Amino acid sequence: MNLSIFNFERIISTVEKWVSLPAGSLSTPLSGYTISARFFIYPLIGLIILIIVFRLVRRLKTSWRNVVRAVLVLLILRIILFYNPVSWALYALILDTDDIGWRQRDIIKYELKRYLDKPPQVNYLAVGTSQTGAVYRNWARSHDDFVRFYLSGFGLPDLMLYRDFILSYHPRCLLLWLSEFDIAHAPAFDAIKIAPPQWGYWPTLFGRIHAVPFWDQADSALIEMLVGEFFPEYKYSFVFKGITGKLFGRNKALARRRITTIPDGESLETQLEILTTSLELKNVTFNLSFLKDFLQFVTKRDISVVIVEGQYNPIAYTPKNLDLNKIVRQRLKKLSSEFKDVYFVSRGAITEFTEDQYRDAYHVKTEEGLHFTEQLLNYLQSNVIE
Amino acid sequence: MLFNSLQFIAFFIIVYSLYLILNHRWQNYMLLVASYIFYGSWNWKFLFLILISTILDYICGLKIYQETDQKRKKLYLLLSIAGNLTILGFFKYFNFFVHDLQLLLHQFGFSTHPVVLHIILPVGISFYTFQTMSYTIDVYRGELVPTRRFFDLALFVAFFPQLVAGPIERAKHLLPQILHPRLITREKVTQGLWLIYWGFFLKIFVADNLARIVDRVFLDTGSFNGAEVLLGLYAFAFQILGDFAGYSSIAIGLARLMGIDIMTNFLFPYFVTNPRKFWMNWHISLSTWLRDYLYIPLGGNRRGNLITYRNLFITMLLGGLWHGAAWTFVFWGIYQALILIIYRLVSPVFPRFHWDGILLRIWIFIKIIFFFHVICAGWLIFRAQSLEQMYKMAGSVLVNFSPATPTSYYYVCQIIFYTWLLLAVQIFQKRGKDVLSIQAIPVFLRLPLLLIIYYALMMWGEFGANEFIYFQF
Repeated sequence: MNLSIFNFERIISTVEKWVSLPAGSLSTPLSGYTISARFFIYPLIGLIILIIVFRLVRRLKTSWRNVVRAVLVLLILRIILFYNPVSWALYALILDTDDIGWRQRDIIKYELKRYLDKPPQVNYLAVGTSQTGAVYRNWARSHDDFVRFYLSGFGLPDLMLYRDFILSYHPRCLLLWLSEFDIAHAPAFDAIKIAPPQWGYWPTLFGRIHAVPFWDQADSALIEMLVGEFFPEYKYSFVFKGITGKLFGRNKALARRRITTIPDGESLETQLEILTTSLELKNVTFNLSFLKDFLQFVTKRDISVVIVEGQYNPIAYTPKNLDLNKIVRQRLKKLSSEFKDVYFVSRGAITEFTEDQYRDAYHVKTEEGLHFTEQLLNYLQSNVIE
Repeated sequence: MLFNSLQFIAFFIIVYSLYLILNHRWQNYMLLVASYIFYGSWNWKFLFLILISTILDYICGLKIYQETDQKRKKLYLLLSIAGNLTILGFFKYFNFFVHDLQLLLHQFGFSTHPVVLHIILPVGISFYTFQTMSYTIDVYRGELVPTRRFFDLALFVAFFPQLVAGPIERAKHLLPQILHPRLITREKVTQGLWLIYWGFFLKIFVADNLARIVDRVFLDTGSFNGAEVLLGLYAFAFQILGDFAGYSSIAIGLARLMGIDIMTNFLFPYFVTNPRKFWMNWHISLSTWLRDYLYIPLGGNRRGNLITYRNLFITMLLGGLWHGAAWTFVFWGIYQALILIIYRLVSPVFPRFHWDGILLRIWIFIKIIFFFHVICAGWLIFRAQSLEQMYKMAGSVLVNFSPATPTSYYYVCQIIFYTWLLLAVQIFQKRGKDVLSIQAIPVFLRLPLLLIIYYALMMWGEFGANEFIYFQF
């Protein structure tokens, strides 16, 4: 029985008009999705049950009654604030990257997408950073069987942290856009706090991070993540800090002082600086350990993986980065060969982008991405996937 | 190990679990070990300083008690005070005095070799030094019988909830509670939990959020206009209240969970109308310490006005210097002395209005607002990095005052948002004349209050485990 009764795109488009957002600013990324009725029904049932229990606890002793009621109110508020699509749609409408940051904004979209019906047949699911989003953008918009899941600053640990969501698309083939840009990049531990709950994977995650020389940086992130799993109010605090910041005119106030609110460097200079300073050989083993976990996880479920060697603006191809590229390419090739359904496509096999095909240091122009995707899929069909 | 860190929470759970299963004697041994671990987590080397103070005061306390000759009693008292103040003076003030002496000599044409030692300030040294000094002074005054149990005295000096930032307890109040078995009642546990919860709210929600405004204003003073600087001062007024009162509340709450009563350190300092009342509400453990062990021995207010003013001046000057080795603290102490003296001069001649009802309330409100600004002027001296910065900021408030900027609007909103609940609860507490009066409110009001605090902490709390301001003292 198909419970999909709401055309989410239409609802969002209407809301966009109400709140005077530019047309498509929210609906375009969510185009083609429908929101399932069950995601309205479940929270509603939850609320009704909690309210009934609230009434029933009158029979308890006063002290216990108060405690139980406090917990019930907490749970009711959790459903209202976090466990329904309407709240997340509202947060997505209210908050922009200037208010909360790129990654946080992507998390709101991700939370919202969890409530959306996925396309029935996904041949290709491209997973990765905003680079992935840019390369495959135009192709994905015109092909229903090709979907992207990307987050700003998506790191290799995120492959495992978001594994269940990736699986929820039931993809036939995963496309990973990986190079030294990702694998030699210092891990961004602050994103761990806002990742999905990891109940079962937590000990492995703890072990992985503890085994590498980042423990001092990861310590608080892991604790925050663990706390966040029990207290969504804490985990999603960025939403409420963002709302009050917006209400209080934070951006206007800070703009005068020229203090950036965006964690990701947006100027070309900043991006280049990151590319020339933050890629280090010491990060490779750490990141690859998560990639290996992920490849094991997906190949067990008969999903093939294509690791497309990622690219970035050639002006950042410094001698150091080119050296790292050689090492990372070898490691990726070796890792791919360990799995039956994992393939590696090197840069030279398709098209190598030139400087003028980039809109900044990281992201290719979308029209160039479209051409690239077409070539890549042709290549895959003739060389890799039968 | 900060109270607002997960390490401390884990530490306290272990300590409290052991505390509940041990008998009184072993409770004390365990608490002493825990206190030393707590302090050693900052720098274990400085545990020797605590130990030296403890041994010195243990011996001096017994000698003072045993001696019959008054002169020898006094000698042991002086030995104790000199020993404690030497440690405090060396670690806290050595570089300050040497540096300023060199500057002074330089003014007169003498060049000297810089003799600056790389001394790290032991955390909480001012607090435990004053606390341990109260022991020998009380023994000397005959108000306390010294203990022969060394480990119990050591626990009195190092009791971890109030070791590094007070309240500065008196031996005659805390020591008997250490020496005798303690009773943990349901009432004490609920009070303790509330005090801890409220303390975390004050620190994590109020103080650490306002710190962002304060740090920005004091870091880049030149780019803020007068209104913004004034808002920065308001923010600091509530930051330091939240920070210090928060720490005290947690400390008192932790002790109360163990059945130990520690003195109240903060009441409602911004709801007062004069400096005398301010010091009866602010850092009460320090102000009463200074009153009992410095101001009254100097003669207090019993020897005429001039001597009273002199005593006030000396007391507040040393009170300012107690906070840190910097000229800003010296000036802050002088400022506090001056407003106390001016108040004593002005209050008898100030017209008294025999109003009641709404007029009286408006008049009190005006006085509270006026005096709040007097206090904020003091906080400017206290928080400024240098005298130059202090003049610059004061000038900015007086000359370059343009309130209608986006930054002012943002700061006003933030200050209201982060302080409204604190003020509302304090008004309620003031009416009930008790910081724990909040526990007496009906459940239908108490539960929403607890939930609001929970959401304030979780959604807007700054969980960066920021240090408490008073640790530096």
